Order: sequence, then C-alpha cells, then structure tokens
Amino acid sequence: MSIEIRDLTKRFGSFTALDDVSLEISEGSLTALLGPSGSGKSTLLRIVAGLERPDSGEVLLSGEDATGLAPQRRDVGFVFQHYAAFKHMTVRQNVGFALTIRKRPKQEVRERVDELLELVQLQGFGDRYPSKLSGGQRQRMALARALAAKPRVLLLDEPFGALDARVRAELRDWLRRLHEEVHVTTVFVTHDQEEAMEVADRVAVLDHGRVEQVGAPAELYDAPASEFVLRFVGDAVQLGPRLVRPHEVVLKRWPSDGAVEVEVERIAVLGADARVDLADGDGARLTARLRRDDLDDLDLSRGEIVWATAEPFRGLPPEPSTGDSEAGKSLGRLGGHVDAVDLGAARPSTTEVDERLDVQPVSLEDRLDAPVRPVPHPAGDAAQLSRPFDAEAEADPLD
Amino acid sequence: MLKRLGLRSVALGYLVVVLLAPLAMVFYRTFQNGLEPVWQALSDPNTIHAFKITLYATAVAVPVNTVFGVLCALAIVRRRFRGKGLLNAFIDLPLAVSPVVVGLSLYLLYSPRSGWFGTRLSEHGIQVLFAFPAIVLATIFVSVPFVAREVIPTLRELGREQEQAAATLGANRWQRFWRITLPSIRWAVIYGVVLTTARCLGEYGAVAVVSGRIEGQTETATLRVEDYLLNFNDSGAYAVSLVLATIAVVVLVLMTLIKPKEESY
Repeated sequence: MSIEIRDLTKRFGSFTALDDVSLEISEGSLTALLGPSGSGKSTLLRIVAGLERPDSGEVLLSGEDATGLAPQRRDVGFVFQHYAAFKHMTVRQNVGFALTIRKRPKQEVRERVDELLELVQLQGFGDRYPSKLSGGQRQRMALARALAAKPRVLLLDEPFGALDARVRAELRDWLRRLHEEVHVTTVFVTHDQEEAMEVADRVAVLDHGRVEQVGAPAELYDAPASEFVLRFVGDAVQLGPRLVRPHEVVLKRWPSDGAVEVEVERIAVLGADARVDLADGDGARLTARLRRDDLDDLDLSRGEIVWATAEPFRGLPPEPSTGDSEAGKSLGRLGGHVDAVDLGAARPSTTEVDERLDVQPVSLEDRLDAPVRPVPHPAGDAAQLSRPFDAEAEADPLD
Repeated sequence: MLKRLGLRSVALGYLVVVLLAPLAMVFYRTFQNGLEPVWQALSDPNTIHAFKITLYATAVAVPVNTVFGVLCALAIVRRRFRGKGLLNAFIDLPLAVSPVVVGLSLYLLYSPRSGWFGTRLSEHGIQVLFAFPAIVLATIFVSVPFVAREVIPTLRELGREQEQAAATLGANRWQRFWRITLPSIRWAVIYGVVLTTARCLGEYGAVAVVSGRIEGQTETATLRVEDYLLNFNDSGAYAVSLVLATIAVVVLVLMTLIKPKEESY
C-alpha cells in the first residue's frame, strides 16, 4: 500500500511537531524517517497509524483519504519502541490477538501463529509470558503480532532503540531480510543515521518538523540538500568557508589556491584509515580522514604545518607507483604494530611512537627494513617498564 | 541490621497495639462465657435481619462504586477536561468528611418535611429517610473513593501503548477495554472492591443518622452491635463484632493468597 502525506501540520501546545510536511512512500518500499529527537518523525509515523490526529493536512493510504480513519480500520501493523507487549497474555495470545478479535476460527489462528513464531524464531516460546522474554525476543514477538493480520503497511517507531548494540545489529539484518521476504510497505523511525542508511532503501531526513531531504542513503551522503543533512548524515567538518566530509579533506605540504593552513595536532591510525586532527590559525579544530597510504606518503608529524583543501571523494585508488608504495606498505605493517599498541593502555606513548616513526627522516632502506627490525615497542611488554622510557629517549631529541 | 530490626519492631509493635490487640480482645471476650450466648445472639432474628440489611446495602453499593470508580479513574487519567482537578478532589471527600456529617447532609436532603429531594419524593409516596434507600445512599457515599484510588495509579503506570497497539491490531474501543485495559487493572479493581466491601460492612456513622435504627427493620450489623452494648448484652455485641471482623480478615487474607501467584507473569 502506498502512503501519501500531504501538508501535515501538528502542534502540541506551542510546540510545532510537524510543519507542513509532505511525503510520498511507494508501495513495497522500506523507508526510514531519520531525525534528531523532537524532529517530528515519531509524530509523523503515529499520524500515519491513526494514533495521532493532525491539525491540518491529509494522509492517503493507497490513494484513499484516511486522515480521520480510526487506527483499527487502517490495516497497519505498528511496532513500538518499548514493545507494548500485552503483559497478561502469553506469546501465542499476543501474536494471535489481531486474528482472535477478528473472530477467525481457532484452527486458522493456531496455524498462523505457528507460522509467525517460526518467522520470528520464537518457536517454543509460545506459552511464555512476555516478562519471561528478553528485549530482542519481545520485539520480535511484537513484530510477529503486527504482521499477524497481514497489514498492508508496517510501521516501526524506533523499533531497536531500547535494545543493546549486538541485538540491535541482529534485528536490523533481520528486518532487512524480512522485508525482502514479505515485501510489505515498511516505514521505520530512527535517530541513528547508520541504522537508517544500513536498513532503508529510502531515507527521509526530518528536522524541526520539516522534511529536509528524501532520497536513497547514498544520495543523502553524497549530495546533501542542506547543511543540516550534511551534518546529520555522516560526519562533517568546517574547512575555511566550506563544510565537507572528513574523507574529502586533502592535506598537502605546500600551499595552493583556497587551501587552509593548518597545524597537525594528533595522528591516530585506525586500521586502513587514519584520522588527523588539525587546528587552523584561529584555533578552530577539524578532522581529516586519510587513507593509510596517503598518510604514509605525506609523512606527517605532530606540530607540522600543512595545507588542507577539499576534493569530492571519488573512491579512487591511489596512483600506482614503484618503490615508494612498497615502502608505504612496509611502514603500514609497522604501523600495524603501533595500532595494536593504540588499543592498549599506554596511549600517551603511542603518540610518541607515531611521532618517532613519522618524523625521523627514514631512508628507503630503513623503511624496507622496518618490519624485520626489532621495533622498540613502548607497551609491547608491560612488564618491561624501562622500554617506554627508551622509546621516549629516542623520540625526544627530535622535538 | 540493627537499624532494620528496629524499624521492623516499631512497625510490628504499632500494628499489634493499634490493630491486633483490640481484635484479639474482641475474640477473647466473645467466647469468655462459652458458645451459648454467642449462638443466642447470632441466631436472634433481629441480628440476622441486621446482617441481611448490611449485606444488601453492600451488594448495591459495591457494584455501583466499582463501575463509578473505574469510570472516574479512566476519566481522570485518560481525559482532559475542565474540572478534572475538582473531580479528583471530590472523590476523596468521603474520606475527609466525617460519616456523621455525611449522614446529616443526607438527612437534610431527604427529610420528608424540609429536604430538597425528600419533600418531592414523599409527595410520590417514596420514603427514603429511615428506610433501606437511605442506608444504601449513606453506604455508597462513604465508600466512593476506594476503587478509583486503587485504579488511578495502576492506570497511570499502564500507559496507553498497549491499548494503542490493540487499536492498530484492529480492536475497537470496547474490545480494547475488555481485552486490554480491564485485565491490566484487574488487581487494582479487585483490591478496590475488597476495600469498598470492608468499608460498606463497617459503615456506622452515616447510617446511624439516616437509618432510624428500627430493630428488625432498618438496623444494620454495626448498629446491632451498639444496640446490644446499650442493652448490656456484651456477649451479643462481641459476637456480632467478631463476625464483621472475621469477614473482613478472611477477604483480605484471600486477596493476599491469590494475588502474588497470579502476578508472576
């Protein structure tokens, strides 16, 4: 069933939850309503479900006006953040509720409930009460319950918000797969941009009761329609007059047109990527996200002055080169050691190692040697207390 | 540890002195002269009639106040309307006002000679004062608050989500009430009913004013106790008191026995 939202406005007292919102959701799609708290996303969902009445505007379900229709006549399934389990009923009774009140024959109810319990992997839990289920199980029960009467729309209000990270990730995948199987028009509300990007085909970004942008996840990221979307979907940094993504920042050792002079404050290696914290002349901080190869080629160290520009990210591989890239790889492996240290307790020492490795004018031979050379490893062995001091002693002169 | 023990003994000691000791005393005194006077007092037709009046009045007041209490609780928790605060305060009025005052106000309203309602009703040959209707009215009045007071917090805690979920699943208002709301608040309702019943059985002050205390006609069980006392029939008074106390205790004990088992879900 398609959903059409036309000029919806909803106020709670002096607070405007929705301000002239229009949105179209096509049949069979999986749409996320994304926004910070107070953006109106839940109110919008609740109006679609009929749990809230708009002050003005219309909701059309399958092209028919449903604005004044009671929730029980809308043929929607709704899943609440806090499950809204019927506590006095068993899992079976919960799941079968929609069919029981429709006075379907017992046999039919039993079969459909069995089918749904299997779908949500709760076979064997049918006779339990919801209080005996975990959060993830309760939410799956709520999903099964919402699907029981074969609704034409499935609406989920922050469905994974109350669950811990692991279960949340599991249920996200599961929802995605469920949608591929059942193909019911699905709309879910979330404040988690990662969740929206990961699960949905289309994302509508809301802020202050207005729709900021609607599009596929990649569109929102690559072509944000407003500063708000840019900031809210993915990270953003202020580079001179421009707002860019951290991975779009390009650092160079020489000035160029429009480049901003910045000082390197910190370098953190994060596996295949590295994060470089920078400060411009006014002390404003920004972050650049570099590929490890690029970082190694730049050979940066703390306190150095570089020039930052921004180029649209195209995901191109680094230019192929000869010996230098070999060296980069080797150093990369060395960096791998450092990275392991980074995870350890001796954080301050890590920077020093970074510094030493990066600042020291290393010859090509040295670099190639690096992996086989016994690395003075500051926190490699916590028992050897003298080691960090050795490393420090080595690094100090370079300051 | 010592602190907790101390707190416990203070609480228990208080209950013993204020509640249990007097009840035990009634029990002891009842059987002081053997079973014979007890049996005599309880089998007296006027005593039986008094119990009947009390039970009938309770049988009318409890259902009326249960329905009203649930409706009031729903209105107060779920609806927004002018005068909601006032309604909320009025529900507690019977707890605040002395039953004697309640009785007096009913007397003034229903007096066949000067009461607002009483004169008109007596024109149609309906006697309220000094008859069963007055007893029922007084009993209802004093037992209004209990169901609503028990249900309101439970309803607040319940929230609306389960009902909204039921609505999206296709349940209409009536189905939502019977299948979701009522089962969810049932223990509060039951507890409210128990308290209401206890209050109805024990009502004395208001009924004393409006019933006329006619032996064998408008005398309730509590009035019977006083009647026996005034006539120096102590055993009779104790016996009737004991029956009243026993009913209350049995109901409360039954409540506590069933409740935790059922709430395990």
